[in-house]
Amino acid sequence: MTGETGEVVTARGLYRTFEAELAPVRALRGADLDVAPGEFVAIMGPSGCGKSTLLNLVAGLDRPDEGEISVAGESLVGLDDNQLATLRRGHVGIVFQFFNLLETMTVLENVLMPALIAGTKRRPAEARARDLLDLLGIGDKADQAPAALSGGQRQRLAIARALANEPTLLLADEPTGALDSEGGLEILELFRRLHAQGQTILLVTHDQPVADAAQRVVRMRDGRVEDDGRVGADVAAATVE
Amino acid sequence: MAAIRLWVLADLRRRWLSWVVLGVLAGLVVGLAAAAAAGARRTHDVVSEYVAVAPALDAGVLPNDPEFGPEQRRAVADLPYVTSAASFGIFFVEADGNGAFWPGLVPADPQSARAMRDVYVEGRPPRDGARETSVDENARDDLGLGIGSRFPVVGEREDRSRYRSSLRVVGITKSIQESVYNWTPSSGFYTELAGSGVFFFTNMFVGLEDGAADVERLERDVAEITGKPVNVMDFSLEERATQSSTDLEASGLWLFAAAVLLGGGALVGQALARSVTTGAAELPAWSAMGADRTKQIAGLVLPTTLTAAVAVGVGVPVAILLSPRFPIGVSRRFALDLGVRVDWTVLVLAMLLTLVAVVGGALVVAWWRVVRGEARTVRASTIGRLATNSGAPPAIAIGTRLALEPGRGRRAVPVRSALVGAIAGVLGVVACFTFRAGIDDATTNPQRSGIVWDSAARQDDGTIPPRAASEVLGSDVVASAIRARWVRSVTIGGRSVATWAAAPAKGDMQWVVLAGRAPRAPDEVAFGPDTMSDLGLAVGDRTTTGGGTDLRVVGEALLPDSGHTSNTQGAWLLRSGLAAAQPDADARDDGFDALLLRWAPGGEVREVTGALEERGIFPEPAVLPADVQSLREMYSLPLVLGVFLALLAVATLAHALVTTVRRRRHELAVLRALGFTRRQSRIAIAWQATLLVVIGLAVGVPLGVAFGRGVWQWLADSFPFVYVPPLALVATLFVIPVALVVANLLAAGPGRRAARIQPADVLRSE
Repeated sequence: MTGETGEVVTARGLYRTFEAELAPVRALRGADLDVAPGEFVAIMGPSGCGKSTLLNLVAGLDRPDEGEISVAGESLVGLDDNQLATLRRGHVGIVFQFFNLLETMTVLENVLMPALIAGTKRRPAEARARDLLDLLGIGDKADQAPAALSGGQRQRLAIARALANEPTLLLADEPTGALDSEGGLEILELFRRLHAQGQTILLVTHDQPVADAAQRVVRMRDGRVEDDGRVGADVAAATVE
Repeated sequence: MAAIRLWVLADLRRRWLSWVVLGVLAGLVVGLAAAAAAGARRTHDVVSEYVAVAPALDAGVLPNDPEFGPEQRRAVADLPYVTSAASFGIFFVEADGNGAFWPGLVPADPQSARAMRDVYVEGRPPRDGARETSVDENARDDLGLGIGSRFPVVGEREDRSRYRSSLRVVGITKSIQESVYNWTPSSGFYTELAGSGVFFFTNMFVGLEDGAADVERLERDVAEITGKPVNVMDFSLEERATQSSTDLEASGLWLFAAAVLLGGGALVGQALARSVTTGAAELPAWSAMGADRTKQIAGLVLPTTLTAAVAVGVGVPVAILLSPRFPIGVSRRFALDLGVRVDWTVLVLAMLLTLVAVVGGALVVAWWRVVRGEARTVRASTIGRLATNSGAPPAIAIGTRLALEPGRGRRAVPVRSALVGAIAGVLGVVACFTFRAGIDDATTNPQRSGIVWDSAARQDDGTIPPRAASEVLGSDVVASAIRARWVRSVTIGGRSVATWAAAPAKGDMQWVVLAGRAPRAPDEVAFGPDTMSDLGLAVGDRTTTGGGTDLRVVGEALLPDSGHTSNTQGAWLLRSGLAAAQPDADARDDGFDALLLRWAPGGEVREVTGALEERGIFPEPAVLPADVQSLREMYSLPLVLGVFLALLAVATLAHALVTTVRRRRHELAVLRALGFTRRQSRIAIAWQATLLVVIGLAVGVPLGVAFGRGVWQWLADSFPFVYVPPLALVATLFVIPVALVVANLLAAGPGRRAARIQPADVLRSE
């Protein structure tokens, strides 16, 4: 699902300032971003440049102070928390750096939960969850607690959970940041496979090898998009294919 | 040491308010328990303290006869074992204008006035010869009398004309009876009355060398002096009955203190355990830095010294401030000083107990946590899984898991202790209501105390004339009756035992049997529980009478109060059994005849009582034993305890909910990221509270009923009265919706906080 522009994500002139103890932190200062359907975009930049803030705004977890943003053709401006939650259920899957798994639930239940929240019936939700776990190579861990999994397995579980509702857009915030190099490569390979199957992915990283896996790299600095990576997009696409 | 200091200071900086709140709650629990315990000790002493300052009189010689003149009184006073004597006129006045007459005890002379001097709470005794009087606290409070006010005296002369006078109130005496107004004028008023033509008679109070032991011979000697039997009242019986009531109240207060400590301790203890466990989230970091087990335990326990200190700081003033609320009931009327009192023994013990309980409890929790460590994996609860997998709405599934699953590390919420708190709260409240229902049952159903009749007609001199008895028993107004004879002394098992001989006279009335059965043959006997215990007998044993008759003990029963013996004392024989044991029983003058009558519904009782009164027999309505009556004075105790435990349970549930939202905010934020709405977050917390209370109700209600009944049965056995399992059905059913509503009200605040969680902020900061 896309908007009139055909983009999955359209962000224009995003501003976001956080109140801090000593002085306000101006995380975004007019950031723009477009993500086309099926694109695999990596946002790169130094710490504090506003990448995660931009990702949170796209996810509807936060609201911009100023600017326009739409996801899957739906403007996020003016939506209340509940409407944003509903939008996330249908269109957005999120993968966090530190997994953010529901530790008291089993692996299967973690993947089930977003589907159940979205109102999917138990049986199809479970079938989909088991498929995803098999796809991500942790099908045999379905009844275990997340704490029993390795770091790479935990992140694969987080990805499975993010894909539970077949989201239009998969967001990932430093998905390899908490993993060793082997685990990181595993996850990158997974993202490549998902992208190859047509999944739109927007990923935040400050790690060049991770960014290299993407079709396009957006570079940020001081709260703005410095380079939207459009020039090298074709080259990257060719690499993936 | 410096590291531990730093650790503790960091903990206190972060959580000082939580430790202080716990200390305040613990202080309230200990303060209330200490006040009740001190009240119990005070209660135990009130009667003896009162007796020590009250007039030293042991018996009343009460002929109520104008012919009991100065010479006879002097003869009584001159008996060798009479140590003091006070003569007084009994004069009834109508002082409130309502037609009710109250007796005034008018000292016959200054010496009597001094011997009768009551306990003054205000003012002074009337001066000899002055037109002055004292009134008691009841008269002061109910009639608005005070020092300096005029007390109207309106009486009736022998020629039926009105006698009017008034006396100045100069003193207020202590009231030790409820709804009885006492007034005692100066001895000069006696002289005035004597010359006024007003009808009155003069009785005596006497002090005896050997106290109660001399009462029996006094009775004999007075009968000899007056030429007829005279009612001699043994004050020690009254004192013993009062002491028994106050002992019961003291036991009630001990029980109350124990219940406060147990219930309050469970509720505050689980919150304390939760707080100590919360600190354990830092253990891996401290362990990584090289802190050994001792240091880790010290780091967890030392912050609780603040809680203990606050508990002591709150508990002591609470106990002292509550001290004027104790004693309660009958004891309160005897207490000479109802002001603030500091019982250092109780206070010191209570505060030591507080320190040991708080710090010791924390030590156990910390040791357990440090030595046992945290579970490596988080176990999902079965119910939580069921809720998730059964297709329950996600908010319900999450609320269920929040209620039942503790989580790990910094996100751990000790759910078990919250469950214990919910169960303890419900259990305490339901147990209190159940116990209260028991009091209600015992005080409104005289048959529980063995009183199966409505009215007792007693003939003190000889026997009830057969014609009068037949007339009464033939009336339709009488549904059933027992004809009984009581004799002061029958030798049974080598001891003198007051004995009832009873036979059904009409209908099926039967005295209450606690164990075994009623006597059915002349050689069978039942005893009151106290007498059975005194004689060292049990149902099934055999014993003999002084006349050599063999008796088989067939039962233990509650018997009528004889005025000399209570319902737990004495023996019960058939009339033929008494005749065999003591052939002259009917002829002896140390006994009486009684008709115990149960009225038919709607009958004109006065017709029957009139027939008896014409023959000088005055039926009296059945009254509950004083002990049982005094249970009414304790009626408010379980209510106070129930409310207290309910408030504590509310506080601990609120604490559990607030802790959940604070410590599980990450999980709640993740759920929001997955699509949970604000409303679903609110519902999850509301359901968590609801589920905690539902479990509290499911476990606490039956346990509370069982516990309340257990305590009530213990009381019933120690009285004794007939145990009927109490059930406070309405109150218990009322607890259910109230608990659910309160839980959801409590969940509203944390639910709002959960709904306001900004996932981006929480997930970024963590």
